Amino acid sequence: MHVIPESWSHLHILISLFPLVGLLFVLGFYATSIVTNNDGLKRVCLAVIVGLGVLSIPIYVSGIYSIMPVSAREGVTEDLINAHYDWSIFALLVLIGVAFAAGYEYMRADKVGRFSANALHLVLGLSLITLLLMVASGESGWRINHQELGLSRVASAASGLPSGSDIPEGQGTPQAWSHWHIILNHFPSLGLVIALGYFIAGLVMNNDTMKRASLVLFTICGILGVPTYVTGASSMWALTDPPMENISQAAINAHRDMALWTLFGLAATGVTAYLELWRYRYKGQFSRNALYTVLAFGVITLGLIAETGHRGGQINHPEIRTEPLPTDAAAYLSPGIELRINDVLWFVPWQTVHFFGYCLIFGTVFAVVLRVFGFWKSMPFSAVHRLLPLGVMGVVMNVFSGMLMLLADTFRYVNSNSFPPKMAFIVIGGCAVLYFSLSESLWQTKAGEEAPMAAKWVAGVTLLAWAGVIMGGRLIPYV
Amino acid sequence: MIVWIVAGILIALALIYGLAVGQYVLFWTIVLALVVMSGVITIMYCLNREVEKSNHS
Repeated sequence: MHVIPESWSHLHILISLFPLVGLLFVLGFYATSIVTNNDGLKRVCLAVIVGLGVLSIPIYVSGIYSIMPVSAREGVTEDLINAHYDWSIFALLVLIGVAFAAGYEYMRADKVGRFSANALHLVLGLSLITLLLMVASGESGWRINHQELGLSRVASAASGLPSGSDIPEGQGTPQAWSHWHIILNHFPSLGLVIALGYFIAGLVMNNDTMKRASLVLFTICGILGVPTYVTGASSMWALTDPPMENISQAAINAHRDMALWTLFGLAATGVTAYLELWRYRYKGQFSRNALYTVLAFGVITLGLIAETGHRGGQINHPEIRTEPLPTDAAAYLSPGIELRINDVLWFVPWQTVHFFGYCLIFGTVFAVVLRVFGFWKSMPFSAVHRLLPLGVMGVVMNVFSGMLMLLADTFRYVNSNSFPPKMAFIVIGGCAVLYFSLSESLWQTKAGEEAPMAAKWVAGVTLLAWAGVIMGGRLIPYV
Repeated sequence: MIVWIVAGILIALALIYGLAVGQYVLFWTIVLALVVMSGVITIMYCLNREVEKSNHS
């Protein structure tokens, strides 16, 4: 599974994003603990923040020892390394300060028996500052090894590859896709680690709030798998057309195959987690079997995502390679799927499934949103809430069939003007629908009552987002 | 009941037609749509049966 680091550079790559993306997710749990006033969750969050502070030591040491191997690479300048070092040292010092504050409050609350609101808010505020500094540190770090981020769109030679696109030959795929992929891929990966940690803690401590928050994060990780996969497919084109030195198509295909399994794993984990969140509303308690199913899916997906990340790192980090790169680009599943799906016998049936899927999604969303807006007030909100799994099934159908259609002609889709907004709307719409299952005030809306104002705003965003997804898809050939 | 029988007959006729005239795209589209939508209906039925039980208990 390649999670045991084989060099200082490898260690640095494995752990350095925890105080950035990991901290972001921990702050989500931390905010939940303050809002719900859940002491168990507060304790776990403070402990995790201390842990992140302790992690700053191996991050710093591994970073120092990574300088020599990475400097040997062409294009890596002293300025790039110094910029990353300066931001990182500042960010790590603030992180250590936050960890001290969190640790002090943890021990004080343990002694006194209650938390101080001021101390909790101080830790939150300092953590947000740390997050901003970590963003600068992360960006400057990526620029050291990812030279392609500095390239503008490069005119590509006529590649000779089959394409149904109307885009003229000679137009390359923007490097912005590589940039997005480098950022996004850390969210489902680190999110899954954090979610699993809190989920296991929630199971052990029998803390329903912690379990619920973890299920929300599992669902979000599932949703984020979609743009991560799409930006990955786009990055492939950005890095290989025109071909770049030291970028191997075979290594990319090895990474793509694993990414496909990871997408399925994230979908399984996310859907199971959401269905349990949905069912919790009606039953008032979790099902032990369902929770253990989510745990099993999560652990399997963690293994898949770790291997995916390792293979991804091999593509553009020569300093961590310890074995030769694969050489046969055709020896993988993804090119075979690309070839097969271009046959109309495969493409049309899956495209039809895609159409059924968005009918299910939009029909469900429309019905729920109209109730929130005030139509059919004779129904309590809990009645329309029962429709939501139908929409989730539609999303699963469309992610699967959409992924197949993307593989049929990736270049065309990723260079279309309406496809990127469609991907962004899927994330917004998917996350917004979570609100309908989480909001207590909306759940309490009985027959004859108006939904709360906040719910109406979320409903509006949801409706616009999913309408945007449909329009974005339909307009691909025309815009 | 009669609606299910009529629907079943129409779908079967469409499938047979697709095979008979070599319209395999039509055949596989109907098969895939049937399989997927049956799966969706089954899952929704199982989920809602559990909720119905808790509503009446």
